Amino acid sequence: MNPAMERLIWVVNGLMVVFFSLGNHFLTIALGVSMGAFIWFSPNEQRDWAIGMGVLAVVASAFAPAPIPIFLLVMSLGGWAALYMEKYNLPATRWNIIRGISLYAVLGLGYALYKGFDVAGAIATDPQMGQGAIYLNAIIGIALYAVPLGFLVMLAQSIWAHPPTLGGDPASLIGTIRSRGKD
Amino acid sequence: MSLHILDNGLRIDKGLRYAWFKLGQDGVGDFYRCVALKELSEIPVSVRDDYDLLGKQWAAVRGLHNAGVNFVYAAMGIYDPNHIGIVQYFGAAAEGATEKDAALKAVDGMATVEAVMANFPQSKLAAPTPEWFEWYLDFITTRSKNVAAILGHPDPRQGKRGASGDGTLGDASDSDLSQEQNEILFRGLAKLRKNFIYQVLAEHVSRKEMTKSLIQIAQVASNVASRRRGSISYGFNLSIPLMAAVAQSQQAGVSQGQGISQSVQEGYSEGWGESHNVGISESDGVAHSSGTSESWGDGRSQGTSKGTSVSDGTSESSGSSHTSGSGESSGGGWSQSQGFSVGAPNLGNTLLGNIPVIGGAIKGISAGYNESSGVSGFSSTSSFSSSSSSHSSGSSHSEGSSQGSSKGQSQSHSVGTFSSTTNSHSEGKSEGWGQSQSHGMSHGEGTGVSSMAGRISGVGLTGGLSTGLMPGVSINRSYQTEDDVADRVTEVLRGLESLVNQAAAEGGFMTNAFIFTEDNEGAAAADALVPQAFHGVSVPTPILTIHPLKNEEDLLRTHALSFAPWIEADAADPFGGQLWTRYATLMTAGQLAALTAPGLFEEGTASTVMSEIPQGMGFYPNMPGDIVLGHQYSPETADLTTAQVRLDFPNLMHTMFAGDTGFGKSVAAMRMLYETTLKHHTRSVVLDFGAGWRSMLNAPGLEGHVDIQQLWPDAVRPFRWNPLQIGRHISPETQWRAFADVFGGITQLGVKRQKQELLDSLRKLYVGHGILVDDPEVRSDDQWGRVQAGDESNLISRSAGLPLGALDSKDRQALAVYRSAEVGLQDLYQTIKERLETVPPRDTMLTGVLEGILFRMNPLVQGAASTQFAPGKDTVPVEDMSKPWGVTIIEGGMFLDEFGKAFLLGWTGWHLYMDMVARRVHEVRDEPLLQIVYEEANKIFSKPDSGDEGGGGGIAEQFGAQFRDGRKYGARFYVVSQAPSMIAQDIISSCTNITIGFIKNPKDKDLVMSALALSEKGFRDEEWRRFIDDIPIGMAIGRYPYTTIRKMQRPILFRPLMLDVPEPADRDIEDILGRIVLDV
Repeated sequence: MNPAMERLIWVVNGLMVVFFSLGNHFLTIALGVSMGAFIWFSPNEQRDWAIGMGVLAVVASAFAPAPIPIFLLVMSLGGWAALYMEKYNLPATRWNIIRGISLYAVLGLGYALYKGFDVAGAIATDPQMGQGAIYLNAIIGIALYAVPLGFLVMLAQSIWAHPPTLGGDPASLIGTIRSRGKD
Repeated sequence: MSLHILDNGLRIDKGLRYAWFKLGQDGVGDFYRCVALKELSEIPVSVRDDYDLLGKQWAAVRGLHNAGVNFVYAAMGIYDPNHIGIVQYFGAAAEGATEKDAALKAVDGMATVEAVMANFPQSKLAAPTPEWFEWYLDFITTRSKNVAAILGHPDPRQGKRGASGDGTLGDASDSDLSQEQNEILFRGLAKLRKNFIYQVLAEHVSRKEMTKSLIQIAQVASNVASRRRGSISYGFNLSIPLMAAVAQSQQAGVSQGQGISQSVQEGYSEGWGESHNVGISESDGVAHSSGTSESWGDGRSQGTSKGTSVSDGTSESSGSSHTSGSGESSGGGWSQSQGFSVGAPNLGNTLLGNIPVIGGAIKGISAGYNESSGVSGFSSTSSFSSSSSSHSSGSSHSEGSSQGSSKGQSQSHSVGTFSSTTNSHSEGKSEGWGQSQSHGMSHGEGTGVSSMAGRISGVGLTGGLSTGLMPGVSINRSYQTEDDVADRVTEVLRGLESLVNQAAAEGGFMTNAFIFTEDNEGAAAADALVPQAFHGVSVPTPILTIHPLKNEEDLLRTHALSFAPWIEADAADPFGGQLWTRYATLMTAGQLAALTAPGLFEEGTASTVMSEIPQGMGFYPNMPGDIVLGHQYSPETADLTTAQVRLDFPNLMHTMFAGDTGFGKSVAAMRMLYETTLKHHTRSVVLDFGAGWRSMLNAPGLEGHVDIQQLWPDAVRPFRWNPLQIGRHISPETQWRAFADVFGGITQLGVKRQKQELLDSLRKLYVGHGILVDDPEVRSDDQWGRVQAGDESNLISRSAGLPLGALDSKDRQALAVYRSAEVGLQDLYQTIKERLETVPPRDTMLTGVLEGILFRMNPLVQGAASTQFAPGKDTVPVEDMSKPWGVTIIEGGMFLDEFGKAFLLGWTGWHLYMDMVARRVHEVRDEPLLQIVYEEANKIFSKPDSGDEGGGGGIAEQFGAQFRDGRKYGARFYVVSQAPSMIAQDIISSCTNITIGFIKNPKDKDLVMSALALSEKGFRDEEWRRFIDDIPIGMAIGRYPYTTIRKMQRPILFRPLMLDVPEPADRDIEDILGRIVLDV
């Protein structure tokens, strides 16, 4: 085969591998981008926490089973929406996002371990814990959906709990009232 | 929104009544705006110390809002070309379709403003000074180079919050209001001597509009406020429920699905083959045919044919073949299906016994949708090989016959026959070899479609009972969240809310405040001074100045000149102009008060340091009596009223008129004497040290009842009098003793011995002339102890030689009067002088005593006075003055010294009084009231000096008794003095009534304070003390407490009615009264 063609095929194949891999891990990658941007725009005092959140979320998204990756991404996007719409206390809103995503990422990692090591089966075979296993599974199952839902509800509440106010953001409103346009 | 002044002017009516402007405004049309202004002229000094200055202005502005007035305040700082200082205007503006409409409202508003400004007790507004108002207009339009708008909310408080932080009404108390506001601005610009104008236009905003604004702000504020606090909790809970439940469920559902599948197949095949075959064939045949034919012509034909054939044959063949091949095929397919299902289960129809529990009434609907797709593929490979052989044999036999007929129409006819037989035989052999190769391709596609529909229904009933008791474990921690951003926004919004709340409650004004300055230095100073003056600690928008855009500056000046507010909303205003416009701010009454409180700035036209009328001044609109002294001032407004000061004649008492010279005490006394004399026909005598009462000569109603006599010899009407002549009704001994007392008292003989020496000398004189008719020494005298022949005998119509003891008192009195007519001051002087000559030289004390007496008598016995007051038949009987009623004025003039005049006037008064007393006692009861006015009474009733060791000086005891007893004998005395503290206490104590003008001497103040029932010691009533020397000409304090009504005993402030008649010259006096010529 023509060496050039062979080289092209290799390259194309390589790219395809990359693309297919990207496609297969789209949720995690999108989450990573979102987390990166979040860390970049975080204030200094929250940056370390944001980095921790980002690492946890990306790892959870990569290794935890569904629906954790998609929920992590949705939570991240919901956080951006909240930051855009909620003008009154951005540090508090950022912190809500950090703790919510971190919590769910930890939950997701725990669930991955729980499932990966078949903890449910081990518990089920224990006569003392047999019934508890069902119960625990139910709780975990609910939590996997309830936690992100609660997170989103909290964000939505912070956005929609109050009607929009006059005068734009707080700084503009106070500035207008206090200075009446004077520098 | 452009504003144009189309025309303008001023309406003058005893000062500026109002200014009018015809305005045109885009989108509005033409209209008139009028402003009525008044200038602050007075505000009492106590206001400066009044911590509630702003509180009063606050109340005033509240009132203005209720009255719907558009309030105007302006202050000018005029330092060039003339140094005037601060001029303050208060007024009202109004709009109307016509000038009349606008002016009517503006003038009414001005009246309202003037009324509420009376809240500053005794402040005064006056018509604007035209030249300064002209300066005002000129400065706004041309002279001022800079203009700034004052925006924001002033807070007149010293420390506490103004607007409430929680949106409620602010602190309504005014205990912490600051003392200065605009004074700070004024003082700063005055220091720089920068001309300026500070103008405030406050447009009334209705409560309805403000209430709408309040609700809007409250809504916004509450939205933000609700963000401020929240909670976060982290918890873990584990519990086992204890329950008993029966559940029933019903379910129904319908489902439908659709599916579609497709497949594709591709095939390929190839084959190879060989073949060989051999064939042999043989055939035999016989063929025989026969036929007949006949035809006829004539257009018709008919024919028949008939034939037969027979053939036989056989064949045989054999062959073999071999084939082989291979093939491949591959294919793939995909499928897709979708479907949905809907269910309506009757979920959770749960019962606890027969009691429905949560969820029992819930019906649920579920819907589902599914979609699937699949892809499949295959491939296959195949090969084959085959061989075959074949053999075939055959025989054939064939027979044939044919028959035919035909018909035609023709005209012919023919007949024919034929017959034939054929025999054939054939043999054949064939052999073949062959090869074959094949290729094949196949392609197939398939499509499958499926659909399904399902329906399910079911009913279930489950029941269960579980019981148990499990401990619950709960771990929980909650955090309170705070949002300070929301807090701050809430704080600001609630500040506005509180402001509008306050404005809606007490009144609010959209306030334009401008400051015009002449140059950049003034503008910069104003920028600093405005916040310094008006800034508050807790307001939504702190006070600030903003300079207008260049393209709006002229428009702003137009607004200021026409007193028209700027109503265009600011583009950045989130509240759409409800709380501010571009150059205006909605203010509460209190905030507007901070901007418009009267500036207590003395460097200007308004007096701010004068005392106010002190508390305790009375006002009696219905005083009894017909003696009108003047008109009362309102103790509240300090305005002159039409309420008269009246005295009741029966209750007339001795009265003191105290006041510094020129301040009108004599005016008040003159009015009193005029009223009493005219209306009650009293006998009135004025003992005037100068010549200030002669205008009484022209008093209406007193014509023919006024006499004037003068104490200098070359006067038109010199007072010809012998002071030593015994009065017709006065006991000689009484007069003798009184003379020494009165002369000694008035001329302030220093030691008691002087009076005694004078008494002794006068006795010697009177005894020597037989005047003391009751004195034993006289009675025993050969000459004077009897009635002498001649004039004396004739005088009393008694025989000469008759002893005095045989005479009745009337005759003795007549003799005493007669004899005294021959004795004068000169004689007394000589007697004392002779006495002096007998004093041993070493008796320096007595020498001094006598010389002192002579010194005092000198003016009366030397020069022209020696003639005027010498004995003689032409002397005037003093006791007949002003009879039967009228006024006699004795003018002191400038001829004599003060002691001489004082003695003569005082001695005259004594004579008048004692004559009245004597006659009252012995003769008359119905004689008119005697009134004596003592001008410069302190010279007559001098108080003894405290350091007088001899104790002989001081008021004559005679006068003390006279004042104490005068009322009983129908006499009233009026003491007029500018130094009442120098008047003896006896006299002061007897003056029940008092009229006070301006007095500055502290001792005099003490005295009149006491007379006004005020404390003369300490700091109590200190405002009265200040007020007494802060009253102008034409204002007097009167206290007339002789009444049974206690409330009428308070002092009153009044303007004495001036006797507005011309003062006669000497020629006039001569013309009216005639000249008196002394018989020298």
